[in-house]
Amino acid sequence: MTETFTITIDGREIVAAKGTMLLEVIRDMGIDVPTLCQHDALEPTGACRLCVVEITHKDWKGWSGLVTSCLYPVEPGLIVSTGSDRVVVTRRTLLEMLLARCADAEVVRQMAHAEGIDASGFTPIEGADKCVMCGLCVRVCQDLGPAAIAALGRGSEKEVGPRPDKVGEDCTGCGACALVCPTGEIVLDRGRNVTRIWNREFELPPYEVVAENCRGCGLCEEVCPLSIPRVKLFMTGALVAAIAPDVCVSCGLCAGTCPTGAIRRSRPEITLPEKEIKDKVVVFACPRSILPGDAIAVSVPCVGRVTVDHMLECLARGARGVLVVGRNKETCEFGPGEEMAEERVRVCEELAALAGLGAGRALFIVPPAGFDGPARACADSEATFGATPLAATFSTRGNDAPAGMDRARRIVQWLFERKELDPSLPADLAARFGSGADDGAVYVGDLPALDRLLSLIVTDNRLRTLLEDSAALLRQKGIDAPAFMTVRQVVESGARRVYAFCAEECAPDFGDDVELITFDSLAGVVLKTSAAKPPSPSAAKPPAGCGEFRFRIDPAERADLIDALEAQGAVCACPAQVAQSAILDREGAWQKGLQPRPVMAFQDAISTANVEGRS
Amino acid sequence: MSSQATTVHEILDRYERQESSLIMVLQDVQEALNYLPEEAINTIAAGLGLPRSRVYSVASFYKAFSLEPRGRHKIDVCTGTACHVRGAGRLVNQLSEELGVGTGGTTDDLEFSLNSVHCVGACALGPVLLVDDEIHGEMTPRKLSRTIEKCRTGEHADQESCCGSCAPPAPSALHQAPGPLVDIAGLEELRKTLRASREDQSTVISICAGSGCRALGADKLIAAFGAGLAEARLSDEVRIQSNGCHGFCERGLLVVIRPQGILYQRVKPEDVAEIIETTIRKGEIIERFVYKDPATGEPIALEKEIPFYARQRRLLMSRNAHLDPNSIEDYIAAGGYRSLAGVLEANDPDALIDEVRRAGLRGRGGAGFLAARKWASCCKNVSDRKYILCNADEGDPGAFMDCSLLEGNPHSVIEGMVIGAFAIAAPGANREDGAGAFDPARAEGYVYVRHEYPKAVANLEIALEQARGAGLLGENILGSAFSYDIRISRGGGAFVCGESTALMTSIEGKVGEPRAKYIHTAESGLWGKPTVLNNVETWANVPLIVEKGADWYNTIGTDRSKGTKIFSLVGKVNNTGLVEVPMGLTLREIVFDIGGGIPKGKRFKAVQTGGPSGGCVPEELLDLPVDFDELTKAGSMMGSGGMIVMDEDTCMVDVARYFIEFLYEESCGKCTACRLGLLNTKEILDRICDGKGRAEDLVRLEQLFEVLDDGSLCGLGKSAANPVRSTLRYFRSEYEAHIEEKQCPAGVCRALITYAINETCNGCNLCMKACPRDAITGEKKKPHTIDAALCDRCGICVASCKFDSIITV
Repeated sequence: MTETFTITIDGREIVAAKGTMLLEVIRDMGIDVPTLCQHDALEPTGACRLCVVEITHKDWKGWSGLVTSCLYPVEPGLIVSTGSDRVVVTRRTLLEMLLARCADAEVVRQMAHAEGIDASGFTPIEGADKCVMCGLCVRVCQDLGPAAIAALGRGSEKEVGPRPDKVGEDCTGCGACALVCPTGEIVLDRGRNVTRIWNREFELPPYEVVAENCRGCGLCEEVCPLSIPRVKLFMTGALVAAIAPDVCVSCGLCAGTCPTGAIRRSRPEITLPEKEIKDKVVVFACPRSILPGDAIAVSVPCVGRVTVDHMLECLARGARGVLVVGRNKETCEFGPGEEMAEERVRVCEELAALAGLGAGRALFIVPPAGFDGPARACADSEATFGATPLAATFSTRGNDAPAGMDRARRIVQWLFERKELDPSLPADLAARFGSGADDGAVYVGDLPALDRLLSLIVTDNRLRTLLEDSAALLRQKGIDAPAFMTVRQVVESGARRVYAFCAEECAPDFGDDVELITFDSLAGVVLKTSAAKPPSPSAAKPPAGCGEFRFRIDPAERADLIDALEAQGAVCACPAQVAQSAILDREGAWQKGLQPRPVMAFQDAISTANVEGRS
Repeated sequence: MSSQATTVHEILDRYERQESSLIMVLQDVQEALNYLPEEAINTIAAGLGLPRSRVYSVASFYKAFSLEPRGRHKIDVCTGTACHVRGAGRLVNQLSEELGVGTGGTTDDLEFSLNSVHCVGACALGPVLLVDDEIHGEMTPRKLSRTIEKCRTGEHADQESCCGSCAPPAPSALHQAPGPLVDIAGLEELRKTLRASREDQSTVISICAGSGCRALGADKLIAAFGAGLAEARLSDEVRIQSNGCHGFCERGLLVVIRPQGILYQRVKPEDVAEIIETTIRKGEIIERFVYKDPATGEPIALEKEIPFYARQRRLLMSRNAHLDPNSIEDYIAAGGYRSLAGVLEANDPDALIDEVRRAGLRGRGGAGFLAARKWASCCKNVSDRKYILCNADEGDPGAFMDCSLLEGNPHSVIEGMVIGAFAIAAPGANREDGAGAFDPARAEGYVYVRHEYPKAVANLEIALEQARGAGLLGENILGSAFSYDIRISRGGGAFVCGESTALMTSIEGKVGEPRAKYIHTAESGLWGKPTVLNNVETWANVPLIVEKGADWYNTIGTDRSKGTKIFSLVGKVNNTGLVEVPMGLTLREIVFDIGGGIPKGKRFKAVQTGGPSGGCVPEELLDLPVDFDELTKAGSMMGSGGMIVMDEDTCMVDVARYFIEFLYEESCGKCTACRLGLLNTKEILDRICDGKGRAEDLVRLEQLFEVLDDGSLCGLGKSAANPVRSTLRYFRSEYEAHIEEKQCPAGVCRALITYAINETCNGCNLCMKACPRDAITGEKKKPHTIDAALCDRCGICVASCKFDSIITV
């Protein structure tokens, strides 16, 4: 139980918990104490001095002193006066000086009026603004925001920095400073589409939920820094999220996280330029970045929303390269968006290289600080792109494929068909499969899922051929592959070597007898292979840990599941682990204070687990 | 990578990219690049993992930094109190005229940057000017013009590089620190060896190389003696010792020849041969270098017999004059680190604290808090880490005793800190907290020192390195289980950082804003850990108390203020310098007996003590015994020990305005009471000095005093009213003369005076040449006249006149 103390405030005895500040106790009693620098979300600093009270104690031999109640913790036996002569004199002089300094600030006028002051005896300051230098704006930005503004200088000459001409350089337009400013000196001009603050303009239309696509998973609620999305239960039993447009600060984090793509900007999402982009460089950047003026720039809500197909399309349309401009990670409070972007740029870059466009066609860059930082970084990066080897350009006309992997695959396939390109197999895969399969080796994986992924990667489908051969081999032995197979069966079938393909996050322990080839879940790129050690043909017993992993998928649910798994990048279905990792990821991310990353929606994870359970 | 970026990265690496090193990184980058360009700031921010806004915030808070390119030559006018009363304002006026920029400005051709600095510790030479960090003392308008001209023609730069042979060798090369001492016996052994090895060199030439004497060319004098002795083949018998400040700055350059104890004053390098020949070889005294009693004209050859020294009790200062600050051997030979050894041997930290308590040692930094009480209170707070710090941010303009101690005897401060750290965090002392947990604290230390004291920083750095090398600092001190190390944190030029909480946030590399001390720093200080902070002089007293005992210490001083106090006696006084006196000596004894009274037979008006937080004590209180409590009762305070004497030519309203302006510039601006309180106080005082004072202004001032006292967050604001209140209390009539009669009785306030030339003018033309407004006319060798309509009362003519012919009417 919390320790409590009895103190006396204005003659009344009050019990207060240890550690409580006097101001809180006094206000709880209904006594009005004016403050300008206090905000519940921030640590008290005692800057405005208006909350002074006089304290004494029976053991203090008659000594009494003024303290700021916002900072003074309760002590046993403390005797507090909130309206003694000394308190009133000090507070009145403070307000009188503030009134001379910021006569236009309504809140100061009201506070002064409450103390009986309507005119100040001190010399007013010509052309003064309404800033009372309470420090709230810089404190909220430093403690809770992107630390874009800080106090500059000292004394009464202090102002809001970084420097007079650079205020707002790192601003994200969140508006927290304007929210806490007690006098209204900081104005957040929030238009329908454009937000203006600190000499900056942000194109920040709010986000909205497309109800029919929302499954009510609640991920948006969790990732929103301001907890604005709310999942509501409707009469129909449907759970649907809603976003209040007037408070949404348009960070785009929810949209980047939504597993079903149900959240989008109220204005069109990402629109690729319609004009000719052949031999140009396309730049993707968020509206908080200061984009170079002459670039073909695509403003995106958050770079985390730039998907592989967006970038691929630009390259297929003949762009020399694609640049995704992140923000300084120190100042971007929407960190996961950047990590996602970085990841996807890597996928796009590798796919483009596979298709024969050459390496380094897509780049993720974090420009150096400064107003001209992005422009300089773009110029430097653009110089690294060579001319496109494409003769023809991909036409978007008649292309009704929805955004996402389907579209990306279509573009890749189109690229693979281009004669002028020289597609290449990644070196590690080429070394392994280029010369054909080992005799007696069996390849295991969920063929349809793998197939879909591999079609994006391996143009000549050599790996698919290998898998199909393996399946045929197993079928000959009476094993129904690929619809159902276990590693135990495969091992028992006498295969000399087993290769299992799976995604990194659900890599099961097959023991030493199976060479595991793990894929990066998002990129579908081989990350690592376990030490290859062929299983002993004479092994009487199957290797430990092999039998439990099933690769069965209920045909009825296959389509949905594959979609879900594909979102996860899972190739080898190890449903229990997928579900587990998905859930852990989601909860762990918040508990550990880590930044959340997009994971499979809760329901998907459960249903995936159920599939396993039923089989 | 650009060369600029490479430089910045090298500097970042030097400080291991620690966030807390931000201020020092900025200092070094500015040193290397002349200012802080935007790109450098971005690199620093990225390198230290800080938002850029925070770096800008720090860079703009501390006065030392410039975000704009600065001139090739840095001209800094010292506007410390001593220089102020000696006419620093006129220097500023003249420089503004000649350079065409105000303070803080840079000329368009990027040749000069003009700035004002608050005290460089060369008060005896006031008014003082720094050209590219080199002190130029006793500035007159002509000297100033010549100095500027030399910069323009490049002569100044040539002078710096000099011939190279007279530059003293690098200190670290001079003195090799002894190897690590593993136990106390080893220390005593070393002491014996050192003493024995020095017996051959019985004659020692001690040369003061304190800040004042350095400005007069002490380094050249030392080199001249070195060369002279070598030539006379006396190098083996005679030892030259370069000391820190001896204290008698007024008479520099000072040379003391031991063992006789002969003091030669105002010695120049060209006198060296004669001194070696006559005094060293023949043992005869050269009368022209000997101090003569101003009253009787009688020569006094022995240092100890000179009244300035004879009336002092130089417990700390005398050691300055007996050792080379860069030589740990000198310190050890003189008995240094014996107190530490004793403390480690006794291994009883509680008894140690008790000893310091019984000695009644009070903090010399200003408030006079009992040191032992701080230590004991820190002991009670259990923590894994405790900080024992030294405040060397001597910001009071006109005070330089901490600088001189740190510069002249850094090992005494280090020894004091190690002893203090042992008292607070001795291993195995196992002080229990209430809950029965043992205190596992590890002690660490910082010395927070002004960057304006480069020599003090350098000497301290050398001393720390030597102490570490000798096993007297760092891991397992003298082979014991106790470990403690000290680092240096350089301040960035902010007076408020002398305040304990601001100092701590500054060490953390942040903007030095104070915080409320409702939770004491002994409980939660630096990085939230229990912390003890004492100033340089306090720490330097600790080894003394340990060595001689509390009972002995108690015999010095008054009932409630024990020991001695060093004052920097400056301003309108004959014997400017550092004086160390037992507590309780009267102001009259200090100012007249030691200080030799007021120059030019002028009348004493007041003495200002305690720096900007203190007050002015008038003539009628001259018999006040000087200790912590008596000064406070008189409306002033001890402060760190600045003592600025003012004569009849000092305007007390102007003095009050000077301090308020100082505080206004130095206020961090965090709290409304101090920020706006000082703004309005300054506004009213400016008005009064400008002859626009109103009857109700004095009432308004009283109102402001109350809000400053009661409403301010930290000591800066809480004591800010003192200079005004004390002058208003003792010199109210001067205020009234300004307000009611629009007159400045002392003839200082520019708007209220008219200059005229009296009949003593011999028409030398100097004033005419100096006047920037061409307001002075006259024929050569005939008295000149001033056209009051053209004169803007800058005072340059007054400073240029050698005959005191220009008067105020």
